[in-house]
Amino acid sequence: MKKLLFVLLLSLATLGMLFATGSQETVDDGSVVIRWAYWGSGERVTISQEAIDLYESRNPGVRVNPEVSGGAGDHFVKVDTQLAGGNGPDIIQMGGNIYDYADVLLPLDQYAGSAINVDVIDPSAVASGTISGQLKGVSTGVTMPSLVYNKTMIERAGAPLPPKSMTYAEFKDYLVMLKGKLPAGVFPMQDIGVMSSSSTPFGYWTRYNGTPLYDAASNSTSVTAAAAKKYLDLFMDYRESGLVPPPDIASGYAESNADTSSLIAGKVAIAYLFTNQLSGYQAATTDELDLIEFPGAAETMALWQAPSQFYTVNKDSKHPEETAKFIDFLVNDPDAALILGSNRGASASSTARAAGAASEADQLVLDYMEVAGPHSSLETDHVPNDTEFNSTLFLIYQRVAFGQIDTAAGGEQIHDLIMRMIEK
Amino acid sequence: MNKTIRENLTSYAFLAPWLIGFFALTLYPMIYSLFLSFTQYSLRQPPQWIGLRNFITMFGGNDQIRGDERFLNSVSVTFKFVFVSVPLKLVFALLVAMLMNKKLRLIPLYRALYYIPTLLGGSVAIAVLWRRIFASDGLLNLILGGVFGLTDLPAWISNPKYALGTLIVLAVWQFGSPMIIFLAGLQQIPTEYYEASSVDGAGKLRQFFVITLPGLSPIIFFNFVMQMVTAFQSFTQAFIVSGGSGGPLDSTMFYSLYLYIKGFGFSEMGYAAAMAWVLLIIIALLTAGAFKISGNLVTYGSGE
Repeated sequence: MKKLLFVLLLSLATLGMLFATGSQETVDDGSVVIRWAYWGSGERVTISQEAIDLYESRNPGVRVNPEVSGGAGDHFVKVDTQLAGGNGPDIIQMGGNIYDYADVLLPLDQYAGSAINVDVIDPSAVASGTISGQLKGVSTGVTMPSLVYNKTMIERAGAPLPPKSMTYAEFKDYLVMLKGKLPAGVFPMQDIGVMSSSSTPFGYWTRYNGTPLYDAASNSTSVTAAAAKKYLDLFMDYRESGLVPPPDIASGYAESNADTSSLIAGKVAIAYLFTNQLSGYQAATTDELDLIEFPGAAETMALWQAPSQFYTVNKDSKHPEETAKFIDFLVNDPDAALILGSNRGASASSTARAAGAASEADQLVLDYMEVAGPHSSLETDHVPNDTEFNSTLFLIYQRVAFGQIDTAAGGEQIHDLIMRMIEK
Repeated sequence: MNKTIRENLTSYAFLAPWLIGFFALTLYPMIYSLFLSFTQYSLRQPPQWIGLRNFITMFGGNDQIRGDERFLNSVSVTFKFVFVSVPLKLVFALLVAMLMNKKLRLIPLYRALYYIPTLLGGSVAIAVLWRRIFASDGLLNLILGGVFGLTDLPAWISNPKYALGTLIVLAVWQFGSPMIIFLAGLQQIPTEYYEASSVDGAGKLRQFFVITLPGLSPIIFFNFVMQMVTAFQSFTQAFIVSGGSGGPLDSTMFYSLYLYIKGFGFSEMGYAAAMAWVLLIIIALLTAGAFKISGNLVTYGSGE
């Protein structure tokens, strides 16, 4: 009987090992552990860790464990799975899809004013994280779509630098001029649609044409097949004139971050970028980068400012109070602001802004926003089912780029796609 | 407590780690995924029963005739991949195994060297390397352009005509494990057969077709089925090489990659579960078919 007991104990111990979860809420020394899930690479990982180190040195007894994914896609795959398994991280970095996650997020209103000082945060930024009257996310900062150009490359080619604001006609003339100066195999412009997340530049184009992608209130789109065709025609023209790389070269770059960027690889001179990504891209190259507007923004005010990301808290967090305090540090603390810069957007907190810009890239973003800010209007609602929308838009664009279908058929397919996403 | 029960309990206790693993980590998820395949499940809301709708969406029928184009494309891509890469890989593995079967100096070293690609092949690092080798300015084009003076070379990995081809080459390159099994099989064929046949005047080629192939047929069959099943489930290579998109133009959209994108990317877990079961049925049918055909082709030793 003793032997049997021993064996049973042994198997129980084995069982325990099998089901022991990897995430401990408190470690042996009794300190609180906050799990912080975000996506990013290179610079963002480095500076986030520096911020964590600073916070931990000021708050003994609190430990922050980052859980990093390379891209937003991987991040949400991981977070979705963890949430479904009841093992979600405390802080979840969110993007424009925060609405899809509202149900699993902790309302932060109880900490607003105590753990998190919202009074110093711009009211518009607070509003952007408020869903159905509850504060569900704290904005990491503001970002804007832009075009980034490789200043060093253009200067080396002996071409003039592009002005911040251009019309589409001026922009094309500039690309043609640039094409004549750049060495063989380097193209003036990135083929924007052959990147896997192209709904933002496409969204700009539809705003520029006065046919915005989606209106949530009426659950409808203003994009017609003819309007979508015009977008495909625009890039077809660039492609045939050699202003963007041929499709097989272009699709060799996933364009999901600096590591897979054709601009950083020195293949193109101008590419699309959100302003908050500039510091990360700049850190990945020795060439100097700078920003210009999408063409036609000055006449149409088609640009927009958007919350870059949100810090949100899992509603099942074991340490909501500690987590809220850490978020306050990330968004409001001047020292944290100097470390984090504009990597997650230009800060919406006045105490953080008072710390000033630490890097040249941050200064370039501020310069850009000075010009582009007035050329902006309110953000268009996001098309529902964002991931599927991007993935399929990308596929349709490729069909056109590789000559499988013509632009008219492509326009039809894009229109059908938007309708399907809305009805889903 | 009666003695037999106690003895049985002891054995179950010892088996417990495996049994618990099997029930909790294999059987339960499988049954649950069968349930999910009849639901719509976004991971964030509880699953909703929708009957056969996932399967109808896949293949078409009812109100919608065409089926899910991207799904059907992924089936065709996967079939092409399996039925080109597996035979090529087996031929290659057999050839190398026959070379390795010779009595040469350093042969154990060669065996180890040729096995290395298999150890590395499924890894992310090799897929990343592959991406670079076959890029427009990659190693392959440098060699083709620099040594052979060819111009106007395609970007192999990002051209829909060639992308799948590069993945097939990658799969064939990992010929190590069938090679080792072939080698073991070759060493099982009694050398007397070869000696006797050469006395009778049989040449090398004839020996290969009359002795080696029939002698190896059970091994060939085993390797074929194993490699086929693995090839149907290929994921890593396509995921890394295409940057997770299955592109260009869905030309590397393997079945399991589309399953992953549907489930985790588009949050359609029910549909993904349904796809997993369809794949299981496809593989089961093909394996059963292979067994049926093999009856006439595979000869087993009489057994002494």
